Formats: sequence, structure tokens, C-alpha cells
Amino acid sequence: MKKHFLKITLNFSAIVLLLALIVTPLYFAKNAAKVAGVKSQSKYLVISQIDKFPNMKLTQSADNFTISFNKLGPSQLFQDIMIINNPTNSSQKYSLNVISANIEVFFGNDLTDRQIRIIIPSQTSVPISLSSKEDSSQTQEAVFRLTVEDE
Amino acid sequence: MIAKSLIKLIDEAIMPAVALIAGKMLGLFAASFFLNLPFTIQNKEVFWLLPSIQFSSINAYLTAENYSNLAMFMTAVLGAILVVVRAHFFHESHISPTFHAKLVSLNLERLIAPSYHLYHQAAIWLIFLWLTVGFLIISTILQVTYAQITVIAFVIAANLSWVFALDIEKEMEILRST
Repeated sequence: MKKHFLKITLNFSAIVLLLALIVTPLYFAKNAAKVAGVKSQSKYLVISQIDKFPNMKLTQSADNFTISFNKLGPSQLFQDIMIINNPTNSSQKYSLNVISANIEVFFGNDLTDRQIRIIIPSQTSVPISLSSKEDSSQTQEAVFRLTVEDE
Repeated sequence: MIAKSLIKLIDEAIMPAVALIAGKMLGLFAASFFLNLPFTIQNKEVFWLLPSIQFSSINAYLTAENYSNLAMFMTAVLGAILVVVRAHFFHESHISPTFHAKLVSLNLERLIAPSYHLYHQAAIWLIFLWLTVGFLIISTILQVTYAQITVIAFVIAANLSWVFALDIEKEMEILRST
């Protein structure tokens, strides 16, 4: 009886060892490369790049962001004003709900491909850019809300 | 006391596991080096032993991840091809007599392998190959790996499995006739 129990235990351990050997390379493959960022329980992390743009001001209230600036030309593009990072362990779908009418806020920095909805893989980051339309007013204000959608 | 097959499988799994990890690491370093991708190395991040590589931008990460996944898959394919070729041409049960004589004259008889050894080795390599394909599929769903790589990987894995199945079929016919 004792011999059988030992046999079962050894065989079970051998199977566990074999499975561990098989799974190890895949676990390594998943975790070998990452995008630098801070880990958090939050669904997203926002890194402000506003200080790189003169006369631009960012304020945040919960998920609502307000960016105000003085126009230098009739229509302007401000690339990578913010960076959004997905710190979770799964892909997340984010969307930008722009409240102000005369300014467009979008994911990425390509003027020809302005996305307001994006799926960001785990541990990766995407820039947010801003484009102002031709408008007579000198002082501009972009108000937008960043939301996480259920997949 | 442990089943003989289990010990053989564990023995055969060590080398492919190390090869796949090495393939992934080399792929990451080669992609970062040749494509000038900025990265930092974090020591003892994976299993408190192996390093992880952190990229400063998503584009650099995606490029390196794709190339390294491809390198890891190519390692699995190379191993599987070696085993399948061995099972077809250097299989003790159905090696051609003239080829066998030639190998003996060249003192390369050690290349001929029995079914027991070949099938354990093939089982491990094909498991690794299909798990890598599974990893690529999940990675594609998570929008990290390009779908083209996954589709090609699936086709290659399916073909190698089919070629190996033909060998098993041949082996069963030999067993039935004896």
C-alpha cells in the first residue's frame, strides 16, 4: 500500500515537472519584453507632456481633462501632449469623448488617422494628440473625458 | 518506479525548453540591436533569475516582440523539422537498406534512431510547436503579434504534424504486417 502511494506521488510529481518544463518557455515569452511604465491597479495611467508645450495648461477632475492654450496660428496640431498607459494585465478599450467643439483630441499622432477609440495591449502606451480648427478666438480650451469601455 | 515514458518525456523536454527561451531572448536582443530600438534591461524579472527587457515606446515593443516571437517559433520549427526528418529517413523500423549500408560505411550509424526515442522526441517538439502557435494566436488577439505571422505559423505546424502523422501510419502498417 505504502509502495503504491509512493509510486502515485512520484508519477504525479513527474507530470507536474513535465508540465512546468513545457509551460516555462511560454511564460518567459509572455514576460520577456515590456513597455516601461509604472504598475498600478488603475485602468489607465496618464503621463502629461504638457510642460513641453509653452503656454499650455492641463487640469484634471476625475476622468475629465481640460487643456487650455493660446493659439499661435490659424490651425494647429499638438502631437503627444499626453501619453496613456494600460497598466493592467489585459488589453483595454479606451475612448475619448470630446466636449469642446472647436478642438479635436485623438489617440496617436497621425493627422490622417484620428482615432477616438483604441484597444491598448497590456503594459503598453499610446500618445494623445490635439488638433485645433481654424477659429477666430485666441484662447482655446479642450475639454474631454477619457473612458474605459468593456470589451 | 516512475513510468519510463514520463522520465523519457522529461528528459526530452529540457533541451527544447532551453532552446525556446534562448530563441526568444536572442530574437529580442537581435531585433533591438539591428533595428536600434532603445531598451533597458531589468535583471531577475522573470523567475527571479532571467532578465526582462523594457522598451520606451509601444512601437519599439511591438517590433521587438514580433521579431522575437518569430525567432522563438523558428526555433520550435527547426527542432520539429529535425525530428520529422529523422523519423522519415533515419527511422530504425523503415530505413532504406542502401541508405543504412551507406551510413554504416560512413560510421554514422548513431544517426539511426528507434521508434521509442523518436516518438518521445517528436511528441515534445510538436507539443512545443503547437503551444507556440497557441501563444501567437493569443498574442494576435491581444493585438501584439501580426496576424500574418500567426497564420504562417499555423500552416507550418499543421503541415509538420501531418508529415509526422504519415510516419506514424507507416509504423503502424509495419507493426500490423509483422
